[in-house]
Formats: sequence, structure tokens, C-alpha cells
Amino acid sequence: MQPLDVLMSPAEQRLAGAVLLDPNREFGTVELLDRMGNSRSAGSALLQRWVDGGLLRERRVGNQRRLSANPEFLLFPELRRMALKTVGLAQPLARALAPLATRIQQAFVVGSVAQGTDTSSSDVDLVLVGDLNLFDVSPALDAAQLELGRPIHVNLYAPLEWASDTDPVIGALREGPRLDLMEALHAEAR
Amino acid sequence: MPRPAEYDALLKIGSFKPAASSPASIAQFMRTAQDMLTATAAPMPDSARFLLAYEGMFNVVMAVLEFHEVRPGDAGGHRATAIQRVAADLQLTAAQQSVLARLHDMRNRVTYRAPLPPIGKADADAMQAVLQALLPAAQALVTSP
Repeated sequence: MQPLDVLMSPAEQRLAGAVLLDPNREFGTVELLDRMGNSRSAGSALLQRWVDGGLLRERRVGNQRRLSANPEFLLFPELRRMALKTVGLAQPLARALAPLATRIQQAFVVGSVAQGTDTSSSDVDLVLVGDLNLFDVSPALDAAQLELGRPIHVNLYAPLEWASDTDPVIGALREGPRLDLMEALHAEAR
Repeated sequence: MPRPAEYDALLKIGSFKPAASSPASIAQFMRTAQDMLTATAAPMPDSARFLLAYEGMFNVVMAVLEFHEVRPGDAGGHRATAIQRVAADLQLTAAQQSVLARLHDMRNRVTYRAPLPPIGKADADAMQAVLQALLPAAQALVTSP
């Protein structure tokens, strides 16, 4: 069971993962219905519910409906954070890294994404600690990069390097804001 | 040896430009790359080892391009294209090509955009390994009849 399962249906989670990360991005109805993977009628009803509730904005271009997340929605920051920690970012990254899970001691996102100041074009700064090398990690992340549509920068550290008390950068990474991926990684690896 | 068709396609779209080819110049690119690989064996910070190996890699790329009588175009992005083209031609594995693209991006990021987080041991090890893989493959190509 994934954390969002207690709050949202699978279709709602997929919709949240698609729209909440980037409120500047508009989607066509068909694209969102495809992503939700629901029946057309159930998917359309869900979209309408999110529009009526104010979480989705609607713009008409000719006879086309363009939908995007509404950053003015009261709970938008909290929902976006929830999506980041689950379906929007953590799960795609965890899925990509799952084959390497036994060699990963720590996995987390730092930088603007973890601080909540990222934009749709911001890079994802990933830190991995473990018995890893780039030849295993890089191809795995290429797939996640395509799925997320954002560049992923990865910094690998061996456990001994990570434990260093003398490196100020590692100290800053250890102390700074982070979006932890270990729970998602364990869930994907099960 | 006729150059692969992809080089002509990249010439047509301006990613590459025609260049004169000189055996002495190609040999010098290869010597420099080998010197840089040899130098990476000495104790030094990871960032220095990474940049040495990166420059060695790019000397290999330039040797192969000159062998095929081309050079990278002047606009941005053509260096990345050249690296990808040569890596594929020298039959690096998919994982090696993925790492090389990532490390080229990292070199640009730490050089032109943000030095933090800095280059680490894993990056330097990987760049060194890629250069080690490229050199013999390039040597076989540029000394082929």
C-alpha cells in the first residue's frame, strides 16, 4: 500500500501526479483521461469535480478544454507537497532505483525541489549514499528523467565519504531540507 | 576509410563543420588524451581528476572528428552532439554512453552554472573509466587504413 492510498483513488493519484507539480502546464482532457487510466465517464466526472472544487482551472481554446492546477486553491501547497513525496516525484524515482535498492543506504532529493521553490524547469538534485557507481545509476535515472520531464542530477557518496565530518558540502547536504525517498524505495522494491 | 553517414547528416544540419585532417594533429590529440589519463593516476582532488579525464575524453573526441574530417559547429550544444556521436561510433556500452552524457552535463553545470554540489569521487572514477574505454577504441580507429 502506498501512502496516498488512504486519501485518494489510484485515478486521483495519477491525476495529482500529472497536474500538481507544475501549475503552469495545461493539459487537454484526453491527455488527462489517458493518464488516469479510468473509464472515460468516471475520469470526466473526476475532472469536473476537481474543476468545480477549484483545484483545477479551466480555459477554453475554441472547442478545446485546457486544464491546469490552480495554485490559488487553499490546499494547493500541501497537496503539491504530498504529490511530490509520492506519485509526482518520489515514486518515479523509487521505481527507477528499485533494482539497486539493496545497495542504497540513503536516497533523497535536495535543492529547490526539497525547499519547495522549484519551477517546472528546475532540475531534480538527487543524493544517493551506498555501494553504487554511476554506470548502474545513470541508465536507471535516464528513464525517470524521461518520465518526469526534468533533468535529474545525481550525487553519489560511499558510506565512508558520507560519514565525513570534515566536508562542509556533505555537512550542508546532511543538515539541509530534503525529500526522503527511502520509504518509497522500500515500497517499490518489495 | 569512408566516414559513417551520420557525420554527413550532422554536417548538413550544421552540428559539424568540415575540417582538414592531419595525421600529426590526430596523433597529438591522442597523445594528449593518453597523457591526461596517465596523469589521473597521481594523487589529486576528485574535481581535478574529473576535469583531467574530461579533457582527455574531449581530446579523443577531437581526434576521431578530425580523422573523419569534421569539427564541432560553433553554436551551443554541438560539443554534446560530438561527444555522443563519437561515443556511439566507438561502441561504448549503453551505460557508458549514459554516464558520459551525464558527466558532460555535470562538467557544464559546475563550470557555467553552479559549483554545488561539487564533483565527487564517483564522478571522477566514472570519467576516468570512460576515458580508459575510449582510448583503445579510438586508437584502433585512427590508425586503421
